[in-house]
Amino acid sequence: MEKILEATIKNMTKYADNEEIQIRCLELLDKASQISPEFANMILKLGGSRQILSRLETGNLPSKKTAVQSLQILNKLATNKEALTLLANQSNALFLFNRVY
Amino acid sequence: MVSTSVSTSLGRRKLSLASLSKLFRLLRESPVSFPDKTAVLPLNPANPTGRAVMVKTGGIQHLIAMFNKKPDDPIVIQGGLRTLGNLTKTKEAVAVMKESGETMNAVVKVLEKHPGEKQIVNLASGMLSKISTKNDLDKAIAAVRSGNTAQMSVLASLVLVDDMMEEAVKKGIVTDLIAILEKNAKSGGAENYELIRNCTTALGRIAEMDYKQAQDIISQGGIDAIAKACDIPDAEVLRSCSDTLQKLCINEANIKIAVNKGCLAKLCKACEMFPKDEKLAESVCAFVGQAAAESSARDELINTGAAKGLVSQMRAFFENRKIQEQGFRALDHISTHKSGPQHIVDAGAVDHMKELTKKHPEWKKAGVNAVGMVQNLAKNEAALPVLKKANAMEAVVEILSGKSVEKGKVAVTTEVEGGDDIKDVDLAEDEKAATEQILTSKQEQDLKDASVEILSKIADPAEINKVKATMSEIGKGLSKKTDAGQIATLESKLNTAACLSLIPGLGESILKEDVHNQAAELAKKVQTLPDCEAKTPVLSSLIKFYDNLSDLNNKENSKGLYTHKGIGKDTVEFFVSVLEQNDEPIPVILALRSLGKNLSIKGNIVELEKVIYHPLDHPYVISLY
Repeated sequence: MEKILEATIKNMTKYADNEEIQIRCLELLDKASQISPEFANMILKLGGSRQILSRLETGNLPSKKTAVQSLQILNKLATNKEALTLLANQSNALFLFNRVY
Repeated sequence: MVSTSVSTSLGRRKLSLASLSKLFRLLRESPVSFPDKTAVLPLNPANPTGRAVMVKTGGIQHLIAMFNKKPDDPIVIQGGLRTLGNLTKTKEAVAVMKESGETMNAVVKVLEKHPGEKQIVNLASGMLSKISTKNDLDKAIAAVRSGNTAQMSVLASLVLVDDMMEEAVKKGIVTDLIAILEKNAKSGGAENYELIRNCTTALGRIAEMDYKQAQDIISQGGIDAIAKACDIPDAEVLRSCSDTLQKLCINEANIKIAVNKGCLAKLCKACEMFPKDEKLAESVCAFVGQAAAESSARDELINTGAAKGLVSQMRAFFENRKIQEQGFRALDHISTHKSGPQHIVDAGAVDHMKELTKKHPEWKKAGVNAVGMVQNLAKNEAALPVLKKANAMEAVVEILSGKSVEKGKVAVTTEVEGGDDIKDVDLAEDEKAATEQILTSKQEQDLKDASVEILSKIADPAEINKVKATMSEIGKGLSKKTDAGQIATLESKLNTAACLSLIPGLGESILKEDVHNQAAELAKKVQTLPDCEAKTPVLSSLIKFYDNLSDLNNKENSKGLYTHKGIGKDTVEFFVSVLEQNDEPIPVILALRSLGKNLSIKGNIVELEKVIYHPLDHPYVISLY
């Protein structure tokens, strides 16, 4: 699964402007994050969450649908204090700091 | 100096007021339509400067002149109407348009010329809602009632505006329209054709507004009057009758009335009378496709031998997507009649379907309707051998494997001072057409179920060995230089294997015959190829093959064999290599889609990766390896 997630995250960068690929990548991350906390952790550590956060912060998302999907994934990843701390470190977004501290 | 930034295909320039005037003059004098289209694009509604410049420099008059000069060019008309619509955002422009009356006349003429072009009708009705008044409507009604039939086109146009239509209906215009239509259709002189057409169109537009209006028209005898008009030997009149009947036949009872009055038979005959009229064929096919859902209409279609006529129109207008969609929709309904399959087979519909799916596999809605038709034919003992003989399996596989609509076109944008982008009109249309061809998940599932049902009746099990042989033979010699014909054969065989794997019994045979071994070798070979024409189609077909194969992991009969042969591992390795090594978006999309699908299937998660067992959180995630 690590390889799949890694390749998926790489394709998110490679095809940043391709809406369909973004939707499919986000769907895959979303499903993976629901299957097991291990997978959710992998997404955090492999930089999937960082990628999503930086896109949200810069507004670099191809559509509203991908924005909604991105927020849903972040919500599913932020299930414990460690994950929130990691997310906060990856992000400039104040709302995450507020949830941690 | 007032200036606006104009982007044309030649580059971006700042134009002064004087040079914009020159540009308009040049465009007016130009014999070709392309510059006109370019001229109407730069005026962004977000840019007040652009609008002001255009009004001052005679842009409105230019556009109206353009409508008169090229009344048949839908690109010019659409672009022009869009620009006029943008201009109505300023009070000055609306005042100019209302004052002269020229704009309204031009819009009415456009509507008269293009009554069936939805885009144009929508744009024109939007325009009319801004520049017409209740006074215009009163004048038109009074004129029509006093016998001034020239005003019928204005009335037919004004009823496109909601408020105007309500007002006209309140004033009892439906009764007038039906009486005028009845009277003139009876006398039938060619001088009345325009009036009859406008009258029928007006009734259709009123009916389209809401169910109550349609029922009201029917109860006042609207269909009787239209049935009389259906006898008139004029293609445009007949088309307006067909368009309006589609709007009136919104339930079984209304269809029955239309059938009893002979409308269906008359319109089918009309297409034989005007075999080269594409717009008439398009409208009649749509009407027949709609009406054939009702049983008395199917009886009528069988009695009049309509299937033959439908197939001949579908052949004659092979490149018209709507005719193919609606034609197959009608044939799908006809195929449910007890005599339908024989009529359809005799008309050559199966061969036509094969030709069409080969040429246009991306026309998915036509494909779905065609599969519906074949599904009914496959239930008929007489038609089944015909399907087998014609190798209908190939067409069904082609439809089910469905190549997607070409994507990746770069949008042509026009830059204006406001910084907003306007997409090229044609491109927006292309995108709309592409979106219309995307099936919903339910439609996709229905298509899959119907195809499996058909294939289980007509597929030849010997095909598995043919697939293996082709994969092995072409696979060995596969290179950058492999010719397109061989690639197409390989693609077709892979798609066949993918579809056959869905059929109970044949799926297990595919596993037993180790077709996946050939696929794995082929996958390795394709991945070593540099970017070339062969790579994407073969990769895409391989992904579909592995994707369908993964369904076997969820079926009791094949689950053990699937695991035993280690296909899950092969699949994951192949998909990851597609994600890592590929530079084309289509295989990446397909691989991600399949991986996502497998993540949703409990049984398949174990095939994707060894995971740690979390009995409390995720009881179904169990390690297999």
